[in-house]
Amino acid sequence: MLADCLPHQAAKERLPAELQSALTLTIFEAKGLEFDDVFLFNFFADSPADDRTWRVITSSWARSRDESPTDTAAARERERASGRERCSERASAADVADEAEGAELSIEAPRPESFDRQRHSLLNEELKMLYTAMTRARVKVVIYDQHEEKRRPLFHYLLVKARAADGY
Amino acid sequence: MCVDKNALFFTGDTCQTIARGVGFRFEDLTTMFFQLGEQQRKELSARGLRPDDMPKRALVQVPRVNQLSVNYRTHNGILGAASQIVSLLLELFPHSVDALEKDVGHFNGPLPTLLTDTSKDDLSILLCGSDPQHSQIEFGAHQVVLVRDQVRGRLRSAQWRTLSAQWTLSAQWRTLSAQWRTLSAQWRTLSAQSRTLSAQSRTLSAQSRTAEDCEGLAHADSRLRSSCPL
Repeated sequence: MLADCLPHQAAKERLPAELQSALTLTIFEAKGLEFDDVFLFNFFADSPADDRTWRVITSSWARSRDESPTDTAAARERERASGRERCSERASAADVADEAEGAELSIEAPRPESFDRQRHSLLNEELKMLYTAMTRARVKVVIYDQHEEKRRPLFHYLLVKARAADGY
Repeated sequence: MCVDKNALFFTGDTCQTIARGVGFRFEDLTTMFFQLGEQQRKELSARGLRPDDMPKRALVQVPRVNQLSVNYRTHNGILGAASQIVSLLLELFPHSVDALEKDVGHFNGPLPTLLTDTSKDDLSILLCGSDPQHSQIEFGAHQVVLVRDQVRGRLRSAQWRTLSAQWTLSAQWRTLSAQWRTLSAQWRTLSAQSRTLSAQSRTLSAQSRTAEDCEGLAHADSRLRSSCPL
């Protein structure tokens, strides 16, 4: 894409004019407001928390899964045998794009990071930010993020939880 | 701040306390009121008074907390995902948020869309697509792009630049047609005003002619008077 090749400085000068038509707010600015649709852009990529901190979420999920009485031992055994835990989702993949129709959106479980309240204290604020951002929407939330490692723990968590609730 | 300490009203959602270094819970607030009440009771008994001797309004009471559990803004798809985040907060940082019942909406709806395998080309089709079935967001006044930080969000991502250019085209079209509608409405108003104005101007010039005539008459009259010595 042409714009990608532009030197940073030139793009910097051009950009604000281009962006004028899409309302762009920071989460702080949007606090207390509501919109029909919220497009959350690079929340994880621009997060001050690193991917290890985000992976604490996976350890929480793994713990709840192991404690869950509804999970049969056989299913867990199968998961262990396959070497990785996957969750997949069919319904919303069709919404994502024409090309994705019929394809399964699956996210591999990231490696869990054990929780340390001191070291991972950033996560508190980060989760509240995410909650605040998501709850601005009346109709739709679309989360798009370019940092695969950082986004994956939460994406995976939401997908498994939603699948458990038969949502996705 | 307030003479009657029981007359205060607080409202908020502790999951949304995102200002750095600021945190509060309603649980902490009620604790504070409880301690104030205890302190007041001690002071009263030091003065030989019993709480029953005091008017009820003068005593600090522990406020009642009401939870609003119906969400009127959004549907259960978004609320479900949001409540999963609250569960994480409660599990990892139990002293950071109030433990409340999950709020529910009046209707069901789609869960947040998590874009994973979407390339930037797909993304622009997705967002700007003419087909409303597959277009996730048609950007207008009721849509928002949320970023972390205005400068970084705007300037750092090359992908964002490309996307925004494509959105801009469709959004600009909408803006233009909206502007056109406004302009033509304004034009109608203006031409109506101009008609009024020209009518007014006609009235004015008629009036001014009348005034001139009157003046002329007065002049003639004065001339007449001066030329006709009585």
